[in-house]
Amino acid sequence: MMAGVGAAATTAVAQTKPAGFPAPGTYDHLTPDPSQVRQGGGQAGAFQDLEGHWHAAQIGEYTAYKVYMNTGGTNYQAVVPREIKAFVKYPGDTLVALTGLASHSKLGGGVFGQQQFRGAGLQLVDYRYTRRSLLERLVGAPTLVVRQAGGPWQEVPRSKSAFQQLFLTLLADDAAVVTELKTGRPRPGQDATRLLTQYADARVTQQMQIAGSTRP
Amino acid sequence: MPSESPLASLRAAAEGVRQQLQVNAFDAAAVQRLSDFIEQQRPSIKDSEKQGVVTALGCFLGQCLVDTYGGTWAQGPDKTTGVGINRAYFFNPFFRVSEQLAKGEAESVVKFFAGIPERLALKPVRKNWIS
Repeated sequence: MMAGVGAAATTAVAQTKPAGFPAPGTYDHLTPDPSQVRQGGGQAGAFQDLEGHWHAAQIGEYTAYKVYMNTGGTNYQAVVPREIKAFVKYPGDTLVALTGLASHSKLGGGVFGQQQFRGAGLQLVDYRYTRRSLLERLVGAPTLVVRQAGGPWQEVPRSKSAFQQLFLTLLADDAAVVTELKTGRPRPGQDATRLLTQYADARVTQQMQIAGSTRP
Repeated sequence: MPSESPLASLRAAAEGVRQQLQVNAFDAAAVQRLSDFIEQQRPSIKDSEKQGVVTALGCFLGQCLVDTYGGTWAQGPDKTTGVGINRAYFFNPFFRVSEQLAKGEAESVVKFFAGIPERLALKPVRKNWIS
């Protein structure tokens, strides 16, 4: 009876790790845990746990599917997207865990994407690193998702008309951006970050004008 | 919509590579990482992608020259794109990347990059490119 419970517990633990790692207990005690690596050259950073708290960590190598982090000691522990919300490698790269991307069933375990913009309640993330082609990963068109107020991620469409439609909905309260979206020729890959930045800057300016006009 | 300038395209490509290489800046450490990356990828780069990879990685190496040695993106005497430094020297980062891709570490971009100060110390030649 107890052995059965133990086996079930082992299985449960194994399911929280990436499929590429053998389950704990399936290799002998002299074999190092394959989810941990010794490595040098990590860089200062931090990660955000699932409750939203930030913790300092050394950030090692990472891919779209896992990051090696060290929160103390000599070993780097592999962490997969569904275990954290985000990590930052100082001075500025932020990678966000994207889980539940509806249009990508094969990415069900989640992926890490590079944050391109955050402001005015909007967040834009590029996860082109999941592509197989080296050239596409280096300089291909970005694969973008956007969300508003921490809501669900939405794919940024590659077609101009669908892109216009989505961004008109997201940025509806900015007359200048709306005009540009309606009269210009927005290019989804190149213009998404610029339009969001323009929108957020206008919100800041608006807030400052309101604050300035209400002073005695 | 404003169209992207050639300079902005070069910098955007360099930034895309920086993120992929997971380095923080366009400096000597980044060039070391670039060299390691080229060695790692050399055997597996498809012929159809080679030119594009050279262009992307060349943009990155060029931006390292710009940021580290105060260079500027420029057009050389033979109309090629490269980086001019001190208004006296012109370097083609795309050629340097293609050399390491073709010949390996004997033509390492690290050696090229580390040798720049020595070359800059030589007697300057007259500027003959457009920046």
